[in-house]
Formats: sequence, structure tokens, C-alpha cells
Amino acid sequence: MSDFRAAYINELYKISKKKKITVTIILSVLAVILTGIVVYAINRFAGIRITGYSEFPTLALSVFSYTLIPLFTAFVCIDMFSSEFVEQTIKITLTGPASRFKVFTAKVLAAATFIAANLLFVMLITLIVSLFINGIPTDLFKIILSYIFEFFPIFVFALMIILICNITKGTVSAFMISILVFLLLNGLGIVFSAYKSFLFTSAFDWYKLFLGSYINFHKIFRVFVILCGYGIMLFGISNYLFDKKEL
Amino acid sequence: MKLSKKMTALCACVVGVALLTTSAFADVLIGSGYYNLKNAAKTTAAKLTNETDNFTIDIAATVKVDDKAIVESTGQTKCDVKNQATEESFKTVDNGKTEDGYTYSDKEESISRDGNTGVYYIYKKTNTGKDSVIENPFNVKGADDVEKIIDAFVGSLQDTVQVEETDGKKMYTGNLSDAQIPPLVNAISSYALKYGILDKNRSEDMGIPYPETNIYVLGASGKAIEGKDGIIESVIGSASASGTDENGAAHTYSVEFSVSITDINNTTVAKPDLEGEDVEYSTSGFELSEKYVGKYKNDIVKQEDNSFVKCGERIFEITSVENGVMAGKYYEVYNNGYQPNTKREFEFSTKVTKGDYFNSFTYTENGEEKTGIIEESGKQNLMVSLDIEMNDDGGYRTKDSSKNFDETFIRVFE
Amino acid sequence: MDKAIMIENLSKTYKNNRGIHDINLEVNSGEIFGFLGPNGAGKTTAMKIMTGLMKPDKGDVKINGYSITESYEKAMKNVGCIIESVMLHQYLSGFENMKLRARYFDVSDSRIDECLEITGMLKFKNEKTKNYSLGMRQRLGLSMAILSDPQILILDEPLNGLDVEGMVEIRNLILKLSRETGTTFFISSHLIHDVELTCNKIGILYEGKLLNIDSTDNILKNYSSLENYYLSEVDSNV
Repeated sequence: MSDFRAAYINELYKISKKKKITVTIILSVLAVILTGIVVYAINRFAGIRITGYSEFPTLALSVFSYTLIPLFTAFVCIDMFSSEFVEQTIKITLTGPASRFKVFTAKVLAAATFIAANLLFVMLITLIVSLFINGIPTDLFKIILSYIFEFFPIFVFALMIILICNITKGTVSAFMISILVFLLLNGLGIVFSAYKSFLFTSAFDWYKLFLGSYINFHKIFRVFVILCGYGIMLFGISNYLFDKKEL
Repeated sequence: MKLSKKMTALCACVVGVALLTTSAFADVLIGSGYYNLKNAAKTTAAKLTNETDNFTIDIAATVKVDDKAIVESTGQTKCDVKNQATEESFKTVDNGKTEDGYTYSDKEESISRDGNTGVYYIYKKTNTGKDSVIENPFNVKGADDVEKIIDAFVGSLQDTVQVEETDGKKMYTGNLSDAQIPPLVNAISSYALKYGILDKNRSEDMGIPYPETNIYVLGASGKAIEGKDGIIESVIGSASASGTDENGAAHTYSVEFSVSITDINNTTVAKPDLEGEDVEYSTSGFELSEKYVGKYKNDIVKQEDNSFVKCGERIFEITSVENGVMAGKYYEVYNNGYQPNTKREFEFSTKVTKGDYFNSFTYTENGEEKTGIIEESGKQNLMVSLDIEMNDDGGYRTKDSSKNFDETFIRVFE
Repeated sequence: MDKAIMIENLSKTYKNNRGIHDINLEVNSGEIFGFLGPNGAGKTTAMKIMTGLMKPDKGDVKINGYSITESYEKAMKNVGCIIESVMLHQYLSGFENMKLRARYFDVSDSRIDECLEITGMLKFKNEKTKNYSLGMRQRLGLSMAILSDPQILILDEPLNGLDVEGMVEIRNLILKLSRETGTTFFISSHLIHDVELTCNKIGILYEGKLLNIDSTDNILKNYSSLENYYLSEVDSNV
């Protein structure tokens, strides 16, 4: 277990030492502030309040859950897998005392931690910005719940990228394929909207299921099971490929 | 150990896929309330337009500002699918003023009554039998694409529609809070409210406060009941928005509406009895009749120095119109000093064909068969285009593009 | 005597038909084993399998009695290694790279400094490793390998990129560790002279096959130098 903890801390340490993390923080703040300014300006000059009473943080989530958050997640996952394969630095980790399964799990958990931290960070920034636009959000509980639930589909997306990293040979190809898959799944969801339950990308806005006065718990449960299914499958396949990988 | 790693991966895969597919299949089979409602709407449209003989739709809508009704409108449409006839009536109370109207239409004609004057306008359809009076809106071209775009917009909100089934009837209810309304939908609706539905002048006329700032959608709710036969019997819905006027006071603007479908196979659509009523007739398109027999002229004009000079006249003369067959001649008369080398002249006796948009005829000029177009222009004048060519899209163009006359022939009364 | 490393019927063939074929060898605890062979003989392949970076087609490697394919963690618990050239995280400093390994063994920062001192890298410890030369990377790799005081060190071409001075230093380090802590070494090299000076047991790998294993003392009894022995072994097997 101490091996696993060390592997996990190492992964977080590596993420935190990258310049990308600074870029992530700066871009997140800028994007949130920009969105805030747009919302404010539209009300100021056109008289339209985009967010209504709906809190600014949920509005920001609906925008970022399809843009910045998956993008940053892709960067981090590709750094953790593809970059280390290409630069061969993975050899240091893989000749260490932790088994490959532990290393893989540590990396996945580090990705999950990053996603959670990114969501938490965006939520805090949006809450601060919303003080300037809407005043104090009235339903903090639902906002927090929305951000917590957004974690799951993004995490499944991260597992998808990790699988792609374990199949592709370079960082650029892994990134391009990840983006393509993301667009493709979203596109398929629009074209075959009756069957989009099969696509985890359709759960990217599932937190909206909680926001209304009527909450369809059965539906929430089904989506959760679908995400779990995806998670288990992707984790299993990626772990197998990672274990089999020869360096 | 090697095998067991493979087995573990396989197991994870099988378990994952099993969870995913069973749940997703269940999800697709159960469908969202929204999908069920959409299918119910499709079934309703299909059944009403194909399987029923007749039905009645009642519609009522109210616009309220701060819970005070500003506009109230009710309407009733009776549809006779079997005989392709409809009767529509409506009544609107707009800020105390009442307006009403009535329209009957079938394949041959439509009769509408002006609520203010009580005059009936009878409009004879010339293109009879082509368009059906009642059509399934889901079969209209492009409906599929619109449906997909709406589906994409609705997204996860699909599941906010709740379905309850009692005694074979299904009740769909949906409530959207402001937090659930997508920002884009909110922005578009708010924009529409501020600049489309209510503009400053209109709200002053209506005596309601104009929303200047802080406009946003408060929420929307709806309820629909589907009967045992799969037809939606009634729909009620409401939506409201909030806005602040120039004095800083917040107001609520809301719309409520209800639709119900009743008297299926029990509705009678009757042509109104016009005995003793004030009636005006009109027809769609142009119908050549005997009243057009006569002489029509078009001046031949030339520009000399800085003035227009009349050189002569083009004469289009209709000598008889019988059963759609028009006989007559075309010729040109020139003034002294302007005689051309050749004068255009031909006689015709031809059937006038009614097209979708214009009436055409054929004639022979210099041994060559040509096509012309004849339309009314004003009340008593004609527009005649000679030597034209039909396009594939149903339009036409003049072969001789150098012609320099406007094709309007003025009726000559002798 | 304890068997530190046991290689049994180890085979691995690449798509181009090269690789290693049916290798059997044993390294006793405390021995310095020299894995001698020309470039491309399969030394790195064998060592990648030994450290779990690759899976064998056939056979197994046991380190301290534990199979590397079946109980990797137990087998690698007391092993330090350098495989191929040392690849470091370029955005981290030398010290930070060391720290990554230190976390597994709960090693203190002063021990990291100690290991850096041993390889002469202490003065570069806060520099980002993207500026390191090949020799510096090799030294840092060595520091990482010895960090946890492992019983077994598997070093693939450890003198790669080092200058003469560096070579002597590292050789002395190996001999010192062997003498003082009884560390077992498995060192691959294509430098015959260096192997002769460092190792007390030598195996020759040629075209994927292990030709012969003998102690350095025995070899030098029968041949004037290791080079002569190597040439005659290779000759008799071609």
C-alpha cells in the first residue's frame, strides 16, 4: 500500500510540476472572468440576464464541461501516459518497486484527483465571480451537487483518453484521436438521439437532472450505472494494455 | 498468472459492457418522458389526419403582466378530414377591445367573415384538389431536421418530463426551473420578449410596463393528457419571464395556453348560410372569362432627342372566350413616318391553360408554334407576354430579352 | 550459496527474428556478474525482461527466488537498475527526479544528497535535468539505483557516456559497494577491459545465445587476457 501511495503522490507531484498546471489555472480564471464579463455586459447593454436566478456557477459549468475541463483532462492524461511512453521516462516508474497495476491505478487516481481539483477550482472561482453579477447564490447545495456529478462523466472521458494513449504511439496522435472521439461521440448523440443513452458523452450535462423541481431518480440511477459500466470496461482494457506494454 | 490477467481484463470488459448495455437498453426502452410525449404528439397528428373522420381543436391563450390578464384569446377549429373542410373561429380581448373572426374553407372555396363589418368574403380556389386542407405537420419536408435540432437543444432536459399512467390515460407533466433553462434558450427568449413580442411602442399602447433590464426566463411548465387511443386530448402550458422597468420595478410577464382535442368523429363542419348576408367574391389567380372580350392596346414609344414619341400601337384583341378557349389576334399599327420593315401580326384560337402561378396559351406566328402568358393587370387590363420559354422550376422567361415594352395592354373602351 | 539471480530458459524473439534464445544462468549473492557481448547481442533485451519492462516468450527470471513475471513486487523489492540510457523527467531537477524514487522507500532527503555526493552530482542537484549531459544523466541514474541500498544492482552499460575519470570512479564505486555491503551486481557491457577489471564472473552473449559462463580467475588462468578468451569463445561458436 505504501508503494501505491508513493506512486500516487509521485503522479500528483509530476502534474503539479508541469507548466501546464499554471496554464490551466490561469486559463480557468480568465475563462470564468470572461464569461462573467459577457454575462454582465449582456445584461447591462441588452437588458438580458443570461443566468436568470440560475446561478452563474451552473451556467459556467454548462459551458466548461464541454470545453476547458475535457481539454485540460486530455492534456493531463496524455502527459501521464503518452508523453512518458515517448520520452521513456516511464521506465523509471516501471522499474520501481510498485507493480504495473499499482502504477496504472495511481495514474488513474491522479487523473481523477486532477479532474476533481479542476472542477472545485472552477466552482470556487465562479462563486466568487457570481458575487459580482448575481449576488450571493441562493442554492449553494445544488451548485455543489452539480459540480460533484460532473466529475463522473469527465472521469469516464479521462479513462477513454487513457485507453487511447495506450493504443496510440505518439502524443499528437493521442490528442487528435481524443478530440475526434469526443466530437464523434457528441455528433452521434445528436444524429442518433434516440440511442444516445449508449454514449457517455450524453451524460456530460446530466447534473441538470437534479436542478428541477422534479427529480427522476430512476434515470439518474440508470445514467450512473451506464457511467460505471463504461468506467469498469475502459479501466479493464487500459490496465490490460498498460500491463502488456513492452518498453 | 498471465492467463488470469487476461481473464481479469476480459471480466472487467464483460461486466462493464453488461452494465452499460443493459442500463442503456433499459434507458432507450423506457425512453424519456420527452420522447414518449413526442411520440404521442406524432401519433396524435398521424391518427387525426389519417384515421379519424373529424375532430375539434379548442385553443385558449392568455398573456398576463403581474398576474393581470392583458390579452385573452380563444379559438376553435373544427376539422372534417373526410371531406377536407375546416371551420375556424377566434375571439380576442386585447386590453378591453374585442375582436372576432370566422373562416370556413374546403377544397373549392374559403369563406371568411370580418368580425368588425360582418361582411363575408368568399374566395374561390382555382387550384382545386391539389393541396389538402388538413396535413400532418410531422410529414412536412424538413420536419426531421427540425426535430433533431430541438432534441439536441433539449438535451438532458428530456428527463424533466414526468409520465404518470392512470386508467389507461397517460399524464405528462414538466416543470423547468430557471436554473435548468439552457443559457442560449434563455437569452433568445429574453431577447424575443424585449425586442420581438413587446417593443416599447407596443407596451405603451397596451399600457403595460416595458422590461428594460434584468430580463430572464423564470420557468416553464406544461401538462399533457394522452387518452387510451394514444391521442393527446389536452395540453396546458405556461411560461413566464421577469424584467425590470425603467423605474427599477420588477414585473412578471407570463403566457398561459391550453389546447384540447374533442369531439373526435363527432364534429360537423358546415358551410355557413350566406342567405341575406353581405358577401364579396374574389378568386385566386386569373380566370379568363367573357368579360375580357375586347381590344387592348400597348403604345409603341421611341425616344427622339430628349422626348418620347409615340410611333404606334400594339393591339391584342380577344374576340371570343368560350370554355376556356380564347380567340383573337395580335397586330401592330404604326403612325406615318414610323413604318417598320416588318409588322408583327398573328391570329390565335387557343385553349388557355391554368398553371400553378400563371395562365399560358399557344399561338402560331410565322409558322412557328410559340407560348404566351396572359394575366390580369389591375382590374380590366391584361398583361401579355409573348414568345416565352417555360423553366423547370415552374417559372418562365421571355426568349427575346431585347424587347422594350412593358407587356401591359390597356383595355380600349369604344 | 544464495542464488541472487536465476535465469531459466529465457527466450524472446522479435519480429525481425532477433532476440535471445534459451538463456540459462545463475548469479550468486555478492558476485559481480559481467554480461559481455557486442552491440545488438541481446543484452538489453535480457535485462529488460529481468526488470519487468518486457515479458519473455518463454522461461522466467527469479530474483531472490521470486519470479519477475509472477511476483514482480517481491522480486524487485531489493533491486536497483539502469536500463538502456537513463531517461529523466526533464521538467524536474536532479533532486526532484531522485525524490520520485525516494518516496517508494521512505528515504530521507539527506540520503538523496549522500547518493548524489557518491556519484558526484550533488552540485547539480537543483538544475533541471533537460540541461544534463549523457554522462550526468548516467550518474544520476546510478544515484537513483543505489538510493534504496539495494541488495542487487542491474546495470545496463553503466559507463555509457562517461569520461575516463568517470569510468574509474564508477568502477571503484561498484567494487566498494560489493566489498562493503556485499551487493550483487549484474552488469552488461561491451567494454572487455572494463569487465575484466570489475567483474568476478563473466557470461558471453553472442547473437542472442549465451556462450559460456566462468569466473574471471579461471578465465585468466587459461588465457592471457579476457579479450583472447572472448575471441576464442566467439570463434568456436560461429
